[in-house]
Amino acid sequence: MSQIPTQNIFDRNFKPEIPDSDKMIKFGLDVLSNVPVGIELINFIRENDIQIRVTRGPEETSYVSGEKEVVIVLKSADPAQPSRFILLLTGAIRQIMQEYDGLKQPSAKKSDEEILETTRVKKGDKIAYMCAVAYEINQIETFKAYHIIEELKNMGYNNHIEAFLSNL
Amino acid sequence: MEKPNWQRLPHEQAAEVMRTIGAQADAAVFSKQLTEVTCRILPFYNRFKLYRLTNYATMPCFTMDYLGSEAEDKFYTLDGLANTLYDVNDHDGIELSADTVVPYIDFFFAQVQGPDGDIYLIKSPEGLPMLGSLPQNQQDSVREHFVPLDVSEDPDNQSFKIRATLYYGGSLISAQINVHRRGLITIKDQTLLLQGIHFPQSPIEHKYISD
Repeated sequence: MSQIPTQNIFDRNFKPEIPDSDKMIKFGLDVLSNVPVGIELINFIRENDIQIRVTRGPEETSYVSGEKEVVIVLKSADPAQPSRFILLLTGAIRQIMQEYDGLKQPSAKKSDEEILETTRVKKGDKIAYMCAVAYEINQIETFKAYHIIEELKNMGYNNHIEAFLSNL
Repeated sequence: MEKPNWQRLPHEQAAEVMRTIGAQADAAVFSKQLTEVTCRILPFYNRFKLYRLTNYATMPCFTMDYLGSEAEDKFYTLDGLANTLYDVNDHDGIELSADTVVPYIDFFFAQVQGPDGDIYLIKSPEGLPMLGSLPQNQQDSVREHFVPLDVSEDPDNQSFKIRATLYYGGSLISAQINVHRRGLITIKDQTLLLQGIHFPQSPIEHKYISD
């Protein structure tokens, strides 16, 4: 039965701890440095001097805030666990990398159809990178405990990862 | 439902709001050129207003909402935590009345999610536009079990007691919501009315703050 867990979420002092941003980013990059797609992402941010920022908000998301900066927003009420953070980091880096690879944000002057199509392509590309990183990390014995494939499914990308795995 | 009245801030004023927000620790970053700042009055606050920053540099647009007072250079990021709203309530000196307590609950639930998703205060069964998407027997059950909204004042405890029907996690729940005049919310006496209701989208037509 659904019950609203008021003792927790409405409590005056309910404020889940979020680890230090720099430590989270360092952790994420350390894990990514173990797999080929992750190394590609790390090389990109180093070569282009990309800054990554982590902040908190109502929903998990990421956005490109400038030519050299991408922001990851973590959900305050339910901060991302390690495996989810690795996936969010992957998506965020790929999001800014797209701009350098010519897959740019559609201009608002474009037609709705063009904006929708570009957005769809960009999202598909970002998810493909997340699938690739999840697959590669999951191949490493020491990282299996992160259950990163399961976490990708929890993020709503069940069909995407299944399609990715079936095409290997 | 009446649509909220958002006001677009003039360029200079918008820049000042972004400057104040940007100076906060861990602030989200917004481009001045590509960000629109709008605000609206909330009937239950004295000095604080709801601000929305929309960054058109991303597609789909990225938005963040804040409760702020420009006169005091004070902005709180709406981050989904009840604690943040309580901090604003303290700062604003909120004093809820019988007229403002229901809009306050709507706003509160629009901001604070449960682990199984959003919580909605259902004011009437016919206010559920997706009701028609349910099988006839479920529609009949919703109408039959619906508990009408009843607001009563509890002067001894400086609070309001609201008997109401809530939608949460695919269930309709009857509950008593206690709201202190200073905004603290507690929920008790939850009774399951109906479960297994899954709407394709939001069960009400508009969230409180959406436009």
